[in-house]
Amino acid sequence: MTANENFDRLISSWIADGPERLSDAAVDRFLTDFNAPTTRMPAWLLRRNLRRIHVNRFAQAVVGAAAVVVTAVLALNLIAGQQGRLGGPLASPTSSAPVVVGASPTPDPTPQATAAPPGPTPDGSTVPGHSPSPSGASGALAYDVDGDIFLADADGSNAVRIADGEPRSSSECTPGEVSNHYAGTSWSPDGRHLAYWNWQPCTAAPDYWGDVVIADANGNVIASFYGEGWAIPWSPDSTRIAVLDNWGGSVIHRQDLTIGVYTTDGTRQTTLTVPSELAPSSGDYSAAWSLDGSSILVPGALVPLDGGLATPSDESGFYSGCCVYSPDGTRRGVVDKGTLVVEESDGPNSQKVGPTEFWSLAWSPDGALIAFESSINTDTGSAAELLVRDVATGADTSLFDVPGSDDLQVLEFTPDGERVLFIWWDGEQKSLWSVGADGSDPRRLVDGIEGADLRPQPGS
Amino acid sequence: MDDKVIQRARNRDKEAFTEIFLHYGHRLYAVAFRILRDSARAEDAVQQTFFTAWRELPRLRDDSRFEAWLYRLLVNGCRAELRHVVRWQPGLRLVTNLETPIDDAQLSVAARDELERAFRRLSVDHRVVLVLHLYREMTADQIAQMLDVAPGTVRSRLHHAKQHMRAALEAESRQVAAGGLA
Repeated sequence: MTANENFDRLISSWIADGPERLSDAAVDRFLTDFNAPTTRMPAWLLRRNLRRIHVNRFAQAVVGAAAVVVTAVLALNLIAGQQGRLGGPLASPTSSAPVVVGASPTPDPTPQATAAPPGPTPDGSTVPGHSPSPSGASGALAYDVDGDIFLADADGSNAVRIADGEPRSSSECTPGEVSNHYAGTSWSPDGRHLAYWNWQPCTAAPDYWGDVVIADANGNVIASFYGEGWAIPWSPDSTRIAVLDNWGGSVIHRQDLTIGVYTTDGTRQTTLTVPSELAPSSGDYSAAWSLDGSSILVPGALVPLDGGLATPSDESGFYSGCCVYSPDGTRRGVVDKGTLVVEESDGPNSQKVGPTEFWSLAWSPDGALIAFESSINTDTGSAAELLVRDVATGADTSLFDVPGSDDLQVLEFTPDGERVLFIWWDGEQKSLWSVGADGSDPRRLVDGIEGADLRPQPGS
Repeated sequence: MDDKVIQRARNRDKEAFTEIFLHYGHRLYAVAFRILRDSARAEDAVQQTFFTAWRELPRLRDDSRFEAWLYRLLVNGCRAELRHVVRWQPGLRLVTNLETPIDDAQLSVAARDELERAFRRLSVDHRVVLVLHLYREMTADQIAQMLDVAPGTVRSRLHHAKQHMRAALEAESRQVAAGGLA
């Protein structure tokens, strides 16, 4: 029996444990309610629905108050930000960079080429904090492969390893051993800092989630601190990061959720508390910043940074599949069952949680285009397609089309808006690709990738 | 389930719908319990599922999709439950688990506890695919068809969920090796 089979057997056994049948009381309760003279939802269900309506109305009120200020601030930021954007074209496809994989103009669902994971350059440091100073690389693209973090040019060339970790699956740890696995790169909005996770797979404490590492634009480590969550959410002004202290609570102690807000030098600026009655009940979320940077959001709660109490909030904005806001915050894109819907923004819960980890959708820097993935079921199976929507005309253009049951994940536009970066998971591994915004010149950039993020503008 | 029963229920025949409830109620509850890890909330999710089904059944066009439709309602019911649950009470959960015999997989109490906690960190969508795959023994394609999502999405969620659970088990085994909680 293989390790995978054994693992499946263990998990299956664990999941199988538990009741198989409704209790007689539950059956009686349903039948009594259902067979009442007028069948309607019983009072206990109605109360729950009323509460939901109340929460949503509250959230809308918050949204309405914040929207005007947020929009104005964003507009000013956008004007200022556009002036410093990285605008250079991608490197030539003939680049000799070791990490670039030969790309085929027509996507091959089962690519033959197998690229070795990018290796370190001879002068690249393998330990964070030792000033790797990548030679040749622009540092525009940050990505992780097998527990390592790399900086590279936007086309994946000139890669330099700035953090040397170990693949999570190969961790055979001895007691007390320290092992690092780096992942989840996230540039600050101003491009001056790079943050990523160190999962520390050999850490003995089962509750240990990971450390957030903050580096400068060259990969030199500045700070590291403990945190929980999937993404590493930067504040809109690039000065702070918010992480959860106790994502899943404790097995012994029931706790409120606390959120740590850290400055880029690792100083814990403040601690926010979400009382247990408002704290999210399931995982797969991260802290997120409101557009104006005044509050932190988690599913179901909004916590102001000014010391005010956490309040209920519309939770729908923080799970996967919600939305991605336009650069000016006035509109948002939502993909629902393979169809892109663009609608007016209605809330302060605009956020960019890491490298679009949860949403396969990205706006171009000027807000004119949206790249999105459409996965649909057909009579012959499923199909994933990368499309671009012209927001003004509503016209869609297909950029990349994968038959079969494959996954595409849109990451982002290049800062010049000319190309779209995306990850294609073929069931075996993830590869980083880019394609022109008009569908031309698809290039496979890096194989074996977990995640990637393009620097918004040159760090200087 | 006989299509005629579904048709009768669509025509507001309460007796037929009761038959549907008695036919599907238990198996939906078994799935809901494994997603929510809480008996009372699983019962609530099932109740909500069937009230919604009664209300919406006239709009269901394809009777052959009835069971898949019912499961989608259940998933929505589970999602609603998780949105409003306060926080789980691990002490109670641990006791509940100990009431069921540990099978030949020989999972230690600590390992089961780790799995419990890891599972609770998963989103509803990840929990659903894990339960349908490992408990209902459905393939990714079957789950995709049932949930109306791409098979690749199901595989991706399954991969993520298993990876998460595996990490929890590995962490627990490392602690045991280090002389921690056993």
